[in-house]
Amino acid sequence: MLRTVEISETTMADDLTPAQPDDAPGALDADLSALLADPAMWETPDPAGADALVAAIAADRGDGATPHTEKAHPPAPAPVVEIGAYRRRLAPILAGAAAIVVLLAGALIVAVVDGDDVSDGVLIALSGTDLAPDAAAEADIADTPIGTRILLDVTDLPPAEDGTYYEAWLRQSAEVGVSAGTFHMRGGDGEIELWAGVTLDDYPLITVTLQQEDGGAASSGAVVLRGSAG
Amino acid sequence: MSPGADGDPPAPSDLVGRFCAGDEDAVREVYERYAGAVSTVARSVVGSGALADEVVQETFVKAWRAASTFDANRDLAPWLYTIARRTAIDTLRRERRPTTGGHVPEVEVAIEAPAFETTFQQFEVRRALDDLPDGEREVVRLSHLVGLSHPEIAERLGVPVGTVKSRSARAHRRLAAVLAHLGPARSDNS
Repeated sequence: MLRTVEISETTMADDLTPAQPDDAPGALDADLSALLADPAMWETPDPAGADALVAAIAADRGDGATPHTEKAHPPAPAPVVEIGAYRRRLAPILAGAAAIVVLLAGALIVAVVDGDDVSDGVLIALSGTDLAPDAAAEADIADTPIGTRILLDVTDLPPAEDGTYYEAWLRQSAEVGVSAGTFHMRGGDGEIELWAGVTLDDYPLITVTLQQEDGGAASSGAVVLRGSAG
Repeated sequence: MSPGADGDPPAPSDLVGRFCAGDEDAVREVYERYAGAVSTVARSVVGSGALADEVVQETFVKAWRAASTFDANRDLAPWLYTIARRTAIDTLRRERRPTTGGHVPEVEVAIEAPAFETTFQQFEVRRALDDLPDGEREVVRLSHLVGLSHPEIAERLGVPVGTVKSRSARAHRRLAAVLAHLGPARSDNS
C-alpha cells in the first residue's frame, strides 16, 4: 500500500539541492514517485469526451430508457431496434397488455406443468470452470408447450457478490445464445427453475456466466459452469 | 472528494441528482471532475489509445444508467472507480475473446489486470493531481514525468527558480495531505 508521503520542510530553502525529480518532495514515497512518473497518470482524456457523453446519454434516453429505470435484459443476441415515436405512444398500452399476458402465462404454466404435456427431461451435468472449480450442477431440461423448462440443481457455486449475478444460457455456439434467466445463490445451494424460449435440440449447450449488474445484457464471457447435451 | 481525504469535499448531492436526471451541465461537470482519474484506471488496464477512451465513455454512461441505485449522500468517486475498473476489465476480456469459431461455449479469457489496490492508488493519485492548481501540477509533471531539474523547469516556464521551488513544495504538501488515507499515518517523531 502506498505509504504516507513525507515532505521535507527544508526543500524550499535548499537552493543547492540537486535538481532531480525527488528533490522537491524531499523523501517522497517511492511508490508515489513511481506513480507520478507513469505516463498514464498524465494522459489527457479524450477532449471530445464530454460532448460524446452528453450525446450518448441523450441517445440512450431517446430509446425510451430513463436513468431511474433498470434496463431490461433481453436475450443476449437480440438485435437492438430503435423505438420510434409511434411505438413510444403505444408503450403504455403495450405495458398493460404485457401485464395481462404475464398473468395469463403464469396460470398457463401451472396448468401445463401440472399436465401431461411435459416431455421426459434430459439430464445434463455441468462442471465448474477455472472461475468456480468446486462448483457443479445438474440440469433437468424438458420441452413443454410453452417453452423449455430447466431445473438447475447447483452445488458449491459461491454466492454472487453485490453488483453481480449469475445468468444461465442455452447456446448454439460462442456467438449465438439465448438467456434462460438469472439468479444469485446468496441463499446457498439449491434448485433453480429457469425458462428459455428455445429448444435444447437447437441450443444444445448450457452455460452459466457471472454478470455485472451494470455490464449490459450481453454475456460477460465469464463462464462458471458449462455442460452439453451432445 | 477523496474518501477520507482532508479538505476534499464530496461531490454535492445536488450534482449527483442532476447527473442522474441527465442534466447536461451536471454530466459535463462530473465528467470534468473524474474523467482524468477514470482515464488513468482505463489506461492502466487496457493500455493507451482508443480502447481506453472507449472505457472512459462507457464508464460514465454506465454510471448514469445506474445512478438511481447510488446514494446521493455518498462520495461519487469510489463508485465511479469501481465501475471504471470493471468496465476496463470487461472490455479487455471482450477484446481478447474469439469472435469466430466452432460450436463451443464462450471461452473464459484469463485477464491479468493490475490489482484492485494498485488501480485504486492510481485513481486517487490522479484525482489529487487534477485538484492541484495548474501551476503546481505542471511543476510536478515536469519534475516527475519529464525529469527536469528546478532550474530547467524555471527556464521552461519562464519563472524564477524560487517560484518553482515554492510551487513544488506546496504541491507535494497538498499531495501528502490528500493522499494520507492511502497509507498508515506516519508519526512526526518517528
